[in-house]
Amino acid sequence: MEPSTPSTVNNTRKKPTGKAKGDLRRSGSSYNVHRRNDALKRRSASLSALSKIANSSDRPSPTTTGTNNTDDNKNKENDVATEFAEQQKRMRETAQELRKNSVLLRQAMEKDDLEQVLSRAADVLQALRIVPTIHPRLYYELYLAVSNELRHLEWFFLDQVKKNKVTALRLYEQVQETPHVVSRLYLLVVAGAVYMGVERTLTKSILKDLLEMCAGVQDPLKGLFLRGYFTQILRSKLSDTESGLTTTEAVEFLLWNFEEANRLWIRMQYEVNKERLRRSEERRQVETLVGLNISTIAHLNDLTVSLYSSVIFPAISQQICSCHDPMAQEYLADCVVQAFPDEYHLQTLSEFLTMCMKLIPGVSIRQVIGGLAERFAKFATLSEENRKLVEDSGTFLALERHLPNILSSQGNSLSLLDILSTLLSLTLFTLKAYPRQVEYVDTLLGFAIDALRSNHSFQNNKSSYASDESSTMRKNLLILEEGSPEERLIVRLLTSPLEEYKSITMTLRLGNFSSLLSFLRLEMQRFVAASLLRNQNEYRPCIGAVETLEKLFEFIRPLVEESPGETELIQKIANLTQIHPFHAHLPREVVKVSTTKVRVAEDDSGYFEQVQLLVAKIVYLLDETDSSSLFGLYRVVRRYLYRGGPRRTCITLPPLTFALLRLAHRRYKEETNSASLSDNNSESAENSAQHIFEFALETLSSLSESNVVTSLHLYLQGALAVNECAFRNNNDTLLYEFFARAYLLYEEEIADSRVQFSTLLLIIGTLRCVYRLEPDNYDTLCSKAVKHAAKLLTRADQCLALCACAQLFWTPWLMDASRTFSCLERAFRCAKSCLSLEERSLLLVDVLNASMNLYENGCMDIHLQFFVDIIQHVQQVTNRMGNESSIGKAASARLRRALNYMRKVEAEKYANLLRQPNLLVQ
Amino acid sequence: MQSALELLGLGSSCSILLVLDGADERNTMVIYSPTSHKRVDELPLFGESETVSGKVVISIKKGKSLQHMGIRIEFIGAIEMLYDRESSQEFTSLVRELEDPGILAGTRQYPFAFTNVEKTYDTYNGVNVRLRYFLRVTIQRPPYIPNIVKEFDIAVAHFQEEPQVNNSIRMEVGIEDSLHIEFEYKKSKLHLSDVVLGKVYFLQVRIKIKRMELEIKRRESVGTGVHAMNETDTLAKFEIMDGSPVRGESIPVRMFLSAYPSLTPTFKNINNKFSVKYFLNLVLVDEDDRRYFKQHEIFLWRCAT
Repeated sequence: MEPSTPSTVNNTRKKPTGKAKGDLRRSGSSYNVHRRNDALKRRSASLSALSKIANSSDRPSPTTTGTNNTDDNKNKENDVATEFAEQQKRMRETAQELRKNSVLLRQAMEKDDLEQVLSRAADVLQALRIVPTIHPRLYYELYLAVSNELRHLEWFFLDQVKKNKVTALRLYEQVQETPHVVSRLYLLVVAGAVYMGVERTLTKSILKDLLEMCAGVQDPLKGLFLRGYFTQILRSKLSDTESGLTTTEAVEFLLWNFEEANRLWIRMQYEVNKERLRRSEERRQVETLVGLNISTIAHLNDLTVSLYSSVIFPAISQQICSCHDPMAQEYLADCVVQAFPDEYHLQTLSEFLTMCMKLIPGVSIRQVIGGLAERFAKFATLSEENRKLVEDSGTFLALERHLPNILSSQGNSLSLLDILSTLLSLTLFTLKAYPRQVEYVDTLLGFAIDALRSNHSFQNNKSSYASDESSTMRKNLLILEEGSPEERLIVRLLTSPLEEYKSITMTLRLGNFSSLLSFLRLEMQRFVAASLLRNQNEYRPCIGAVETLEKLFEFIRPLVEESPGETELIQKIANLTQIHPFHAHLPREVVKVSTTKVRVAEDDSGYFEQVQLLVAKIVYLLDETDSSSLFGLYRVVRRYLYRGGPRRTCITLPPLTFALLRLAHRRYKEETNSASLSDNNSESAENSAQHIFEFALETLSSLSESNVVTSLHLYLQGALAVNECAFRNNNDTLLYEFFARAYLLYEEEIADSRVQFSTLLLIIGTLRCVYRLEPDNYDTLCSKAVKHAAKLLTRADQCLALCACAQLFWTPWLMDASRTFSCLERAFRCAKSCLSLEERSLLLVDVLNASMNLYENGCMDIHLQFFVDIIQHVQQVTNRMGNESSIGKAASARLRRALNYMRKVEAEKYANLLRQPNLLVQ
Repeated sequence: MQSALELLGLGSSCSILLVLDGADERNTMVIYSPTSHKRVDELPLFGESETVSGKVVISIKKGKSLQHMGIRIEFIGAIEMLYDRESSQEFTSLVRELEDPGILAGTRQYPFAFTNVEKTYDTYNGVNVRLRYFLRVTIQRPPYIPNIVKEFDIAVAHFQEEPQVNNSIRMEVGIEDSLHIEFEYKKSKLHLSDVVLGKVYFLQVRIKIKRMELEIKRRESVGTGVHAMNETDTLAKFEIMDGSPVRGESIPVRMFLSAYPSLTPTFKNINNKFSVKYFLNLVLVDEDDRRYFKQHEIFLWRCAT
């Protein structure tokens, strides 16, 4: 009969669904369409929830089944529960039967009856034929029980052969008479194992035969377990040193079995009557049966790199590429990565990456390449030799070459998250393996930028379909959600080099750093920039060139520059906080709107300061060897710092100012040295000390807007610094200017009386130290001080300030006794007019001390009576206060100390005074 | 049986034994029930023209005597139709007279020999037909007394030469758009302890197959024309595949015929009475238990072991 001639007889007999070709006939049970449909419906309805149950007990499922109708869901779950229970019941029954048969098998073995043993063994193996198939976990339990029996059977067979009751060949043939294919093949594997043990020369052909015959089991689950059993047997053979099998041959067989197992495994995905999710879940349960082959290969004794790269890897890779199944590709690639030694991977990296390129979209590249990179990283850090090995084998170059292709081959299915995490693991690897090669890391950052850009355009395309409005809204920036994993990954991509290098200069060589940074939210940009500054190991000078410095500022721009709207926000916050609680109800809307932001700003403030302090520290990174170039660097620093607005400059500028002053001083010394060598000093004005001072002054004037007190202090500090230098064109303009600015600030900006007092004292103190002022100017400044002192708010302040002023007029360069005394007198008056007795007593002693000081320094205008008056006043006051007041006691103690001092130390000077009878002190 | 008959007065008081020459060294042949591979009998085996010789031992109980009209032994080859006795036939019948009429007493031995007797056919134990060879010893009795008859079966087997031409069986079959397979058996002529080797290659699989089996079927045809009777039995069922294959799978076939002892050689038109044919039947069973099959005749022959 020719297959091409249709048999009319058959056609008439057949249902219209299938036409016969040739004469393959169909007969058998009639089938009830309705019944079948119902069953199908019921089954499919119950599957989704089953997978849930299975998942909950085993491994978490990546997704849960999405059904909208909750009632439906409940029904399904019920159905599922019943189906699972049914499976379990069936499994239990099978297991019971199995136990019974096992007992019979053992009995037959005891009786030494081979025929019976064979038939009993076949009965035992019936358990693995269970139809319809059950969940892999249940099947596994059966498998375990059966394989336990098979071990006994193998011993029995071996015993029979050794006792010459049967030849191994005969046994091998005899088991093949078993009618059922699953049972037969298990028995065949057992008999084959015995046969191989006896006839070592035949090992190869036996294995070949076994593998060929294994094709008889096409049911994926049963087949996988069978092949798993085969692998186990083969494995135990391989542990035998005289297995009669070379490594190459063993590899061949394992690869063969692996390919077949893999195909079966993939086929599980296409079992029509199961829901997709459940299929995946069941597949995950048995993945190790496939991976077992790879791990067995990896554990072979005489495995060599050349064998791996010439035979094993190409075969596995070919299998992976051709299988077109995401789960298999992912699992197997990971298997390869994890199973084989790192040295092998280094050899085959390029091939491995080529394989990755061929993986179908949907495979988690991040897991595969990430796993590999992690292994390499670990390997490289293990020892210096390893690192060298990694470096020598050009690992990174291979990665660099293939990565773009891999990423692009995956197309849109590869999420940004995947790309970024792949890049992150590669970065970590590169940092470990190539600690010096900054450009490698830079390349990776470049890939990240590309990914973000393409993703961005992709998103834009998508959004333009959705609505024009949204596309215009996100016209420029990829929106990374706050706290999203993508964002975290980018942050880690950027910070991991910092943490590894611990050097700003190294990091600055990353050209792509700042552009990648720009993809982040401002807050995160700031965070990254701050960690850049924070991760400098020691603040040792390391930046010498202007370009480098500019780059650094480019990197940390988010920290240095004011963000748009920031000032308004701060302003608003300031306004809000200034509102009296009584009026709080008025701008309620405003309050409501901005409270969140306010909170952010307030929480932020501590952090903000910390970070700005880091920025301020940049000054100490600058290379100090050459003073003139250093000034150039300072200029750059200032230029950038200026952009920060008053909120930042008040923290960042002071260190710069100090540095400038220090530099100016240094320049001055250099200038004077060089001047002594040659008068013809053609040093450009640009870099002269004077110029630097002027520059500092300028810097301060910008600072004064934001932080009055600090800048005032700095003016004074500047004045002191200028005072150190005697400029050739010798005028005190600069010095005077510093003071003038200080006074201006004092007058215009300082309103708080406490602050006024403390700053005034500071001005006075500084003035007292400055000797390079022209007398006129000095006089002006001093009178100003006296004037301000007299205008202070409280008597106490006035008194103390005037005492200080008195010092101004009695200096080595100005000895104006009358003005000195007048200051003291005024101070005395102020003290007297102080109402509080306690305060008054203390102030009076202060005036006394001040007077004594000046008197001892030779200011003879302070006459005796003045001292007497003060002392008497003090005594009066303390007497009035009595013994209860502790302050009074303290005051009298101070007085006593002063008098004692007069008597004992400077008795000569105060001889007249001490003669006064009414100064008897108790 | 004997004693029961004796009690009824019907049993004879004599026993007949047949001892073949060289019985101890002679090979035997086990006769199995036609369908179930169960052992039925074990018979001495003779070749095609071998001499069948031996002696018949007749012993009469002590103190008794038996009057007879003569004793003879026949060598008979018969084809017995089990459901149609009429068309049974003895194709060979040879007679040797052992004793003239007289009276028997005590034990007597009678040697006999059928030299070079033609035994054309093989012994066959079928469902509807049986081909037997036997020796029948008859003690003839006076009229109205039934003869004492005893039959002794022997088996005959012909060992065949290995066939010169032994083509493989190769075929591509299918159902349009749903199943297409190609199968190959290495040999079309197999001896009785041979191995069926081959493979099944799946070209297209659109139906969900549950398993695949190889069956050996025997068709026994008896009679001709209107009386023709066919009996088909499945002697062997051998699962060669479990589960559903995909396109491109090649499933190996290896089936040991020695596992099925009731197989006989193929008999073609034995004495115009019956034929026995064997078929290999490849069966695919789908999920709904529908069976798709393709059978092909094989020739079985007996090989000299």
